[in-house]
Amino acid sequence: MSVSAVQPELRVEAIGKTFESAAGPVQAIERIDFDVRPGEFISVLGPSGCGKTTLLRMIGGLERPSTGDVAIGGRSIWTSGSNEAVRSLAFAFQDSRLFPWFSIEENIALPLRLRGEPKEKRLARARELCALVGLQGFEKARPRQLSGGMRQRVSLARALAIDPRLLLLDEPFGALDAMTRDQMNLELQRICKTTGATVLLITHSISEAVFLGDRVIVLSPRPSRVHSVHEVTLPRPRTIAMQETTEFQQLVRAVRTDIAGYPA
Amino acid sequence: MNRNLETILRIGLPLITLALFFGLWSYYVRDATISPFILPAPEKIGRSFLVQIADPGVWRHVRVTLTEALGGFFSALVAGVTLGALMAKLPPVEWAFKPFIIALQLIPKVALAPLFILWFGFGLESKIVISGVLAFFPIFANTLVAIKSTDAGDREVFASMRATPLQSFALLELPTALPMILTGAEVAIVLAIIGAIVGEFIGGNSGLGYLAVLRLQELQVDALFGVILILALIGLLLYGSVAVLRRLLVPWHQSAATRL
Repeated sequence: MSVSAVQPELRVEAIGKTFESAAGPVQAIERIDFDVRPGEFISVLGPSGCGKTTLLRMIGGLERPSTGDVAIGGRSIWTSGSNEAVRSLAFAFQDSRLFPWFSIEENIALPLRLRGEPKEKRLARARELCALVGLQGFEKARPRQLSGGMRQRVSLARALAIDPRLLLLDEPFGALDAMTRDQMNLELQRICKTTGATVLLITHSISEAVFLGDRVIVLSPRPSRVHSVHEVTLPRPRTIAMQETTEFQQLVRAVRTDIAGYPA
Repeated sequence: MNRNLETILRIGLPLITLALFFGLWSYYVRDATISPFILPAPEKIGRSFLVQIADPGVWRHVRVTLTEALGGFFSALVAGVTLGALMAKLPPVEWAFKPFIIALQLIPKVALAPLFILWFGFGLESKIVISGVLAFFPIFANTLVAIKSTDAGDREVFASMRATPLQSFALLELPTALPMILTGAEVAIVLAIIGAIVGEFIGGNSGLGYLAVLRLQELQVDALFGVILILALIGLLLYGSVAVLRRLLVPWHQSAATRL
């Protein structure tokens, strides 16, 4: 009985979502189940409009599911409404969403400010995170002085401020150019290793999903279900050169075949 | 080289326009085809202006008008931001009151001035009320719209960080709205001065509006022009202060970098 001793860090259980619209109810997500182990990196892929963002919002406590529940570290978010569970996760979005009236360190420290941390403590943490994401020297800068890639680093640092158990990333690098994106993926891998956080990444890019993930979950079109799950056995740390290996390319092909099975 | 020339022209050309304007004016009234009771020569107006600003009696009127305009402006600022924010955050409050605020806005409010004199007397109070009523709307409307149009994605970030409604208001909505509130304040300060002067026109015995009417009755037209000049300078000073304040308070905003 000791085999299943490891409690899942995140459990998504029979979650479904139906929206009410003027034309009647629209089922966005039929039913999705999966477990995530502590420290695991999960990539979620799916055809556009399959409800990936809705899934992330439900996991993150921002949108109530029509059916099912989500538990983080064994604490349910929706049925028992555990405040502790939602406080242990953090989001980063496609747009960096920094606030121009705050400096970089104030932006990073914002989640701590909202939790009432004293100023000295939260700014010290912000400076630490600035160094972690490679932005030493930019603590006092304003968001508009930074490039798109740098702003996304700040956004990531802000998400890490509360030391989350679970990091929810909604296409965080989707708006960046391909070169910056490769760079950011390497950075993300390094940061995740340092912090040990469990990560759920939503993306449109198959190679990004395979490159970063321990597992890739492929969703079906609306109303979505889990179509398939691919284990990525490539060793870590992964390098850009690894993308040229046969193993990597076979994985990408397998995932692509899954997705291509559906009409666009 | 080119930039230097541009700088010289930018400063020089308006000065030339001004000199030309006063030169033509001075030449035009010299022939005595125009009575000095209608249009005095600019140099006479200048002299009268200097005489008046040296007169402590005039400064008393300046202080009165300033007190009224600033009193009205700050009342409007507090009321406009409070009501605007309240209505933006509590839709039932907006539904209950906004139609009437809009309706009141459609009344030419200057026409209400005699009523306010009747209700609040001939002293400072009635002028502060008139000034405040005129200045209220641009601040109120800008606050309401700005807070309501806070970006949905920004709200989502605050929601994802579990911010309380009060925290979202103080750290997101108010800073988002500040540039527009201050733009409203720039319009409001000018209206506040108009309100104070209109109030002085119709009742009371102090303030620059009263002084202007007095000079007219005494047929001291050059002195009347002098009063107008003082009023223009007060307007410039107050408007300039609000504009500078906007730059200092919202340095992050695009509008802080654009010149008027």
